Amino acid sequence: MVKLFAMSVLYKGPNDSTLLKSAFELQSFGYFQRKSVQEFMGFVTKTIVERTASAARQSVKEKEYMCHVYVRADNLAGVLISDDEYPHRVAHTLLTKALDEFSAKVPSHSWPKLNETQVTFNELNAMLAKYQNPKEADAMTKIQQDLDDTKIILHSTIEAVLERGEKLDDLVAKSEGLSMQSKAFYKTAKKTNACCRM
Amino acid sequence: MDVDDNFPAAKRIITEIQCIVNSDPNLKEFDLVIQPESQNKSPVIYIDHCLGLESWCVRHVYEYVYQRLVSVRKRLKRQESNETITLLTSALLLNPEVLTFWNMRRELILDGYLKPDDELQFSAVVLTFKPKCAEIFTYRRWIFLNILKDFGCNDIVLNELAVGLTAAAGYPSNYNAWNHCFWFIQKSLEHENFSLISHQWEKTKVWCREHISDHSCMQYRQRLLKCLVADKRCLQHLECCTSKSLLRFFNSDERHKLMRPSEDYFGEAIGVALDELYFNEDLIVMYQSHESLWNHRRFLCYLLVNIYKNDCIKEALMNNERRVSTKLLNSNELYVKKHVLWLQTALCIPIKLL
Repeated sequence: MVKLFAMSVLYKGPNDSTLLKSAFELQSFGYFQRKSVQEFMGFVTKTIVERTASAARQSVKEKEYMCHVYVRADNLAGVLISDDEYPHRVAHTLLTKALDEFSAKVPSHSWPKLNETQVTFNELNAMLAKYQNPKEADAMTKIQQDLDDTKIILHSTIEAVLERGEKLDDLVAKSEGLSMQSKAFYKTAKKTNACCRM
Repeated sequence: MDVDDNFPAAKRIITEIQCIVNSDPNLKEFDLVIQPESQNKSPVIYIDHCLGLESWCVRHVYEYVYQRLVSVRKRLKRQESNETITLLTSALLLNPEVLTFWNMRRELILDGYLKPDDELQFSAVVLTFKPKCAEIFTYRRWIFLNILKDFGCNDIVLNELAVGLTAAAGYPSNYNAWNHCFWFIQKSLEHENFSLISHQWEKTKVWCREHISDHSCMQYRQRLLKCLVADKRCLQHLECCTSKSLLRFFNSDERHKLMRPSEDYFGEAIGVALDELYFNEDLIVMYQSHESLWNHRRFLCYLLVNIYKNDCIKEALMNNERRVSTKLLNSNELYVKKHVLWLQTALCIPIKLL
């Protein structure tokens, strides 16, 4: 599937990251799975930003999903979760564009103090809808040309991004952002070796 | 021994499910809701036309309905049709792969206890839980073939194609779903209904772009394309303009040689195939190294060379494939080389890669 599921803008503080805005498109999941899927995507988003250095790009593959992350030098971060068939280059181009637009609208001195409820940036939802078809990104050629492919670090699992000694299972168990039901959902999905399919 | 005592709530649960199925004609989805332990409330969840069952009780409920249904089937117990229907509904929602249960429902339709329209609705809900399950598709086709016997009406068939498409989206390369759709296309062609094929041709084009690794969707399009080029009446309803692709593919000399004014249809048929060839090229450029796209391309080349067995087409194809192969050599090296080798051995089209 060529699909974008979630796009978020975060601020990466010295110890943890705060979500400033996020948009989701989860219609392709079953009704009863959406809530857990959304929580889980939020969890992965936050976890990955905290493990990405400033001024770096990473793309992490997890089963049939891809998680693209870009942390700028000024610690504004963007995360895009897509299907692994969505062109990676376009995904990173989109992140650049989203962060550019965000910083043009929300002044940078306020980032460390803001949280999700205080930010209005509905352009993110519009972008998520528009760029479901990656062909739409053809117009962003300027950004695409500036993007240096070789600087994107690729990982084949989420575990590869975690710090030494960290385990995804432990992080999930400890997480406060995940409800009991989502944790059970994660365990079941892991057991059947299929994310989001029972 | 009666199995009731093991799980006394089972009867209440399956009755609740049956009530929801009966009362909501717009029920959309069924799914399990992960819940490892009983929450001291009914495990049946019903919101927004979606039906969910908490996972902890699945095993108990299924055991309950299964044992009862088997004894009904073995004639150990007298059948009370309403009770059997309630048992069957839960059994099939949880495990639609049991053909015997569907057969019991078939008998209930024939005896007039179940209505075919309700059954189409119910099996569509089951399909959202197990989108690849062949038994469900077979059941639906059986209803059409034996009960409704109506393939002339566009609305009914269109609805069926929509159900097929939803199932196709629920499971990657869902051959059963696509096969089901094509069965309906064939049936409507038998009834001289030629408009659906062009409708599906347009619709799946968008779908293909969103599911570029879906072999089965491409194969469905291949079957549609074969019908389109084989029968003039199928082409009539096509909305897209094919002449652009013809101009792009052939130079003016070739066009003169090929097209005779008396055979408009001939040009149109090739035009549809060429449209698809260019569409495929766009996808290959956008999404690198996807086998399904290259397989589809093979089919298109084969079709172009073999329908008309015309040297002029073959030459134009050779020029086109040389251009495409050269352009894509860097990004898709493995697939380009395979493609070139195949063109040489299967179609005798020699291409030198630079």
